Amino acid sequence: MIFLELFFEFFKIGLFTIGGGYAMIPLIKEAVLNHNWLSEAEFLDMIGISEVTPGPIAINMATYIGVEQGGLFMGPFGSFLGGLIATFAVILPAFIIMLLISIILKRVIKNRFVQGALKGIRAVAVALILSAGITLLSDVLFPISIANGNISVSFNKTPVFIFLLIAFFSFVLTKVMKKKLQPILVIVVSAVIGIVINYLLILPA
Amino acid sequence: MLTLIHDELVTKKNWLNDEELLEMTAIAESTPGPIAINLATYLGYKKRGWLGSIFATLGVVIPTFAIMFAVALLLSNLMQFEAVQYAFMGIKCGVVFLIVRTAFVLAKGLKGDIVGIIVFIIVAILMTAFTLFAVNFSAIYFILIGGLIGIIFYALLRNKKGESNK
Repeated sequence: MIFLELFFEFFKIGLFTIGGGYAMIPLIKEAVLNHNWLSEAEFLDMIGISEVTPGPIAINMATYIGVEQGGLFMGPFGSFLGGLIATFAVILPAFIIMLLISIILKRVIKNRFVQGALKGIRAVAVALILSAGITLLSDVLFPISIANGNISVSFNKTPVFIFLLIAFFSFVLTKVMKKKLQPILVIVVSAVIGIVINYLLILPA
Repeated sequence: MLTLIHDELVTKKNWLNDEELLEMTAIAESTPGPIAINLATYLGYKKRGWLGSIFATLGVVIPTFAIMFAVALLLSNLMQFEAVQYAFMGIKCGVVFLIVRTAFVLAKGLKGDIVGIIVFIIVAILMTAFTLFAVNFSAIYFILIGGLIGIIFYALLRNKKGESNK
């Protein structure tokens, strides 16, 4: 049943992602792609939307997917229920663990073994973010397909051009103007570049 | 998000001082789940017990929930416009740029930590290869293995080294 699936998957995401923010992206990606809740392109759109809307990315994602999947299953009431269940599931581990830490276990977090485990997990988390970034990057810019042992790479001209412009914008902002890079600004600028480039490239033809 | 949290909780409400916020952020970053939820639960409990923690957490969730609910209902209509599709072509590129950039920024934090760097390189290569070749191996296993390696190398072995130095 979809509601149990939503609960179980988002509980897992909430439980196994330490550090919040982008650390949650690899697990969310895995869950939504495995269950066919979103295509990879839709997943990227949703991260973009999550960046420009308020609140933690994981909650944005949970609510959206819960609403969509619940709606497919049971109409408007299912939408509401699905959104509620997925959102509840993704925050439940954080809530329980923080409550325990507030009440009794504040010392546990300073324990040598806990700190050691966290340090190991942090290194893995960075690697998982990089891996997710690389595979998504390749899918957007130069999709690699493997069939019968043959590896072929295609090349998406417009996205590559847009990506280079975004990288240039970020470089100028952080290195030349010495400003901090705000994700929301990157998303808004990317949207504008996307619109402008597409109309410019189409018009001459 | 942290700048906003600082403005509201430290500057305006005076619920915390800078040092407490720093300590709580460190705790929130070492516990599972979104950091804003960790902070809300913790602070809510500190101020008003378990009822406080429930309300503070709900307070963080409700605006996000309401907005994403609306987005989910409206998005497919918006997507019919050509300009919106083009905007999202740009947004996709922006998002992958942000993810890769975040990874590199975080990777800099591993500097000087040889075990961490080795774990980082091996996991990055394995996970990328698994994704490329569609091998089914959950990222959760990497996280669990990372925790185990952390306990062995940072807690157990370092301790032994400390004893032999005495």
